[in-house]
Amino acid sequence: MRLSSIIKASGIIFAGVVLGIVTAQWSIEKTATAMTAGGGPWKSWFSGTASIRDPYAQAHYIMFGRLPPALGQELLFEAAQDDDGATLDASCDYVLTGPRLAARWWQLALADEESGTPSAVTLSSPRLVGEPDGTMRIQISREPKTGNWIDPGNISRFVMVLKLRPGSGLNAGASVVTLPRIKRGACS
Amino acid sequence: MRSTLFWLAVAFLIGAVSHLSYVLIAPSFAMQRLIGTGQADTPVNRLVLLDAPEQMRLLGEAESEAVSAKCLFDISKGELLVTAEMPDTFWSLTLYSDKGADLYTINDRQAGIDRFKLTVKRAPGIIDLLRGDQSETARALSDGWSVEIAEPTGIAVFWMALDYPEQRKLFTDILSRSSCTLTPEAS
Repeated sequence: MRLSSIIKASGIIFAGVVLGIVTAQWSIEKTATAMTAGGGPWKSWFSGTASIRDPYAQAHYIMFGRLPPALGQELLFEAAQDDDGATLDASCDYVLTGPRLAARWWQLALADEESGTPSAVTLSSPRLVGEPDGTMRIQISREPKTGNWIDPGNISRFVMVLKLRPGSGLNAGASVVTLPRIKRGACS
Repeated sequence: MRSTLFWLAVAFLIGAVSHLSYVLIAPSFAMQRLIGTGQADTPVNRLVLLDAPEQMRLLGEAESEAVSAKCLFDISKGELLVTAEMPDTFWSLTLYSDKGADLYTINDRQAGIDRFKLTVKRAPGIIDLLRGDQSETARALSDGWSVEIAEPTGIAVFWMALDYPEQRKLFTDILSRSSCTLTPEAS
């Protein structure tokens, strides 16, 4: 076999593999549903009303190193942008505001977007200090803040992962949950 | 022209195979890596309390937020008996297959009690259904709860919320009284 044929075949195989992986990742991202009940950039790969049977949604969680949410126990939302559509950047301050989340237990975590790994930077419902009017307000900043504060630490770009455990065991629909708004403040 | 079409078809076919492999096969390997199956030091059919790094890796939750345990199970040669003892708090128990599908889940409000037995066994195949022998199911239902699952291997995840970090030791002590054991099939 001529060398040019081997190079050509290798190129075709490589292009095919790259094409397959790129389209797979694109398809996995496309299976997310935009959450609109409270507005904002939150997305979910899990409807909350039926077990995940879609292999693309399943792949999204497992390939990211997380157990998929179990039906009736957990809802998972992710936001990679603020309300204005800008990518979340740890050199900027962010304020999350909205009504208190209707769940027995919830956790807001910041995940490093580059490494794709969950981060230990979290805030969960037992530690939340509610506002006098019954709403919640969480600040994300490298500078210390009063009230509910999350320090993103050394990560640069991040994704917010909001885990809700409704606790009722009922199949709560992800699309009806009112989620906090994400407003960007000053950037350093 | 014909040669170009041939190579385009080959590239398309390879692309389709790698696409399906990425979506269908890669998550299974990722799930097995996530839950720790296949590692020599990972006990099977035994309850293991998760330390802080393992809990963060598996559930993404800090040790000040929750207490958890796992039980990798393999019921290909018997039934799994889960004897759960949970503290009086918000808890859940979820069974996942080794491909990541949720097979069974229950929380404190659904259970109504904090101490119970759960028998996990393989769902009968078509031949068993045709044979029509349901006596085992009846026995199991009269002795705690019973669940039949289609997948022989997976992971049971015990999770409980902490209202404050100081509860961790107490809840860990209670959870450690739970067990997860294989009852071999009678030959």
